[in-house]
Amino acid sequence: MFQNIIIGQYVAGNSFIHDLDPRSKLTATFLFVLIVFLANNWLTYLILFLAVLVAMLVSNVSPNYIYKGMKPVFLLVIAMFILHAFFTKEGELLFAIGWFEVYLGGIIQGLFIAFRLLLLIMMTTLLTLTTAPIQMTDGLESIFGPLRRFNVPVHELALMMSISLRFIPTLLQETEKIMKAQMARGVDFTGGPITRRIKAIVPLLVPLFMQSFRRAEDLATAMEARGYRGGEGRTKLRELVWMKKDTMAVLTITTIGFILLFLRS
Amino acid sequence: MKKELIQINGLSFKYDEDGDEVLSNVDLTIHEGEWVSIVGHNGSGKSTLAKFLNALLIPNESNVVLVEGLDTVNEENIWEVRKRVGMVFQNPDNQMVATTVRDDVAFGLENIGIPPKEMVARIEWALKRVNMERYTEYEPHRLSGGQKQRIAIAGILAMRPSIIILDEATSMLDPIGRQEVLETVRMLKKEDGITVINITHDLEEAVNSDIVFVMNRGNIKIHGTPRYIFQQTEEIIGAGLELPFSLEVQKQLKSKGYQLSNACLTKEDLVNELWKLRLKT
Ligand SMILES: Nc1ncnc2c1ncn2[C@@H]1O[C@H](COP(=O)(O)OP(=O)(O)OP(=O)(O)O)[C@@H](O)[C@H]1O
Ligand SMILES: [Mg+2]
Repeated sequence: MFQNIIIGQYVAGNSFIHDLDPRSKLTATFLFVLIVFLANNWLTYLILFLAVLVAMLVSNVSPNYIYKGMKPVFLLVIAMFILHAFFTKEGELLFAIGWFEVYLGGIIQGLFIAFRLLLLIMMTTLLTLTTAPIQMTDGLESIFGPLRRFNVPVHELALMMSISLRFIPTLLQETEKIMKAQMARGVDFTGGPITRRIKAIVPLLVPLFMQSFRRAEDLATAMEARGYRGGEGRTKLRELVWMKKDTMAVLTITTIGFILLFLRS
Repeated sequence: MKKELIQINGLSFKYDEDGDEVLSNVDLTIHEGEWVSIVGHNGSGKSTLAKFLNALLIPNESNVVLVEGLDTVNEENIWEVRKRVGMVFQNPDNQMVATTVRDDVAFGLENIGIPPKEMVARIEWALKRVNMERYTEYEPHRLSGGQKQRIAIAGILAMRPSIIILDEATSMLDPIGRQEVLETVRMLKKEDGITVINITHDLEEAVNSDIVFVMNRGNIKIHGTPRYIFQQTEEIIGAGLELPFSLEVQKQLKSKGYQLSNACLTKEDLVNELWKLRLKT
């Protein structure tokens, strides 16, 4: 049932974008998210769209993957369009059915908002497609590192994240095992009214939680036995190296931001 | 006389102030290069004892736990002791920390602050030692139980320990996995001179060790060579343990009036004794 689990959407590869430092990718994506909100006319949206297109081409990820990553949110995009198209009363009146009126301004506004959402989703999907979860964790730990001075447990949070990543497949496998064991005892997970199905979850969750607590305790002991003593004095196998191309990537996005500042109306 | 690696004198311990003593007055000496088996029934205190050996539990002042001369009462020694004594636990799934084999072997090295360049070399070496170098990029859930335990051993090995403790490390494995793990450790003992402490309740596994300690309710009842220990059938049964197959056969034969001349520790020995039995009578 849960075979071949892939955590996140990462697709291994070695394009320019794959090879970027996770910190530069995170920074660039964050900047892009800000910049998207600057766009407010056809030209600026076109520029952003071209930027995403170029990034996608350079990443060498098959458009199919990107489409799959975006599919779950299409409904949201359409809903956003409809909402804005119907409730913005600006510009020329296109048609009216009774009190229900649709204006040209509304359509345009709806298109812009939907397009903005699409751009955001495309860019973040690209980030998750080209960055392994563990790299993402390393990147976040490094970016938020300075917060340690304000007693934010950055190292611990990153470790929590990576341990979660490590145990998701294990827990899924275990869920499957428990489900089978309970099914053999006559629990029906698939059929029946919703209330019965919710009740069927209980004999699944209880053993799962008990096991997880056990695991947590065992793991803590094993970590201590291997000399774990917190982030202090710890070295890292995966060193992040910021290179020229990382600076380039961030600068490119910043430049696009400035161009948009001039071209927006 | 070989160097003493571990020395415990009169160690008593209870988890709760007003609970039962889990360890009472335990004495234990382990020498360099030995294969030591600690056997005992469930709850006899084996794991608790093991935790003292790598400073996961700290004795109070009146007890002595020395690891390579380092007193674990002294807090400054804890980290050094954990570097020198590696532990492999029972459940293969609950001791891998990282998302890939390579990162997991690195975990211990990161903890003790090894520079990244040296880490890479040590990881490669350790994975080769346990014959897992082809699995460097694997995620834990794609490994068998025996493979996971060997990764755990590699993670310890990379830290260059002098002692490896296996706390029922093979009890959740199938026969093949068990064989893989024991073979690996045997090789490490032979070629790298690592001292092995194997905790088990399977006496069969203790046959080839240099010395066996039998625990019963927090006490070390008897200790000695497997040959000596296996002759103390009353003690073994009294400690709630099952006799190894060959000994059980001998005991049954004896009760039927067939006395074998030598105690046979392995099935091969037993077969050899059996076919010679008629020749003598
Ligand atoms: N963390 C703990 N807190 C309180 N009591 C404990 C704890 N760990 C173990 N005990 C108790 O100490 C006793 C010895 O446990 P220990 O785990 O050392 O036995 P063991 O010989 O390793 O057994 P097993 O063969 O089941 O692993 C048991 O009675 C157990 O209930
Ligand atoms: Mg135990």
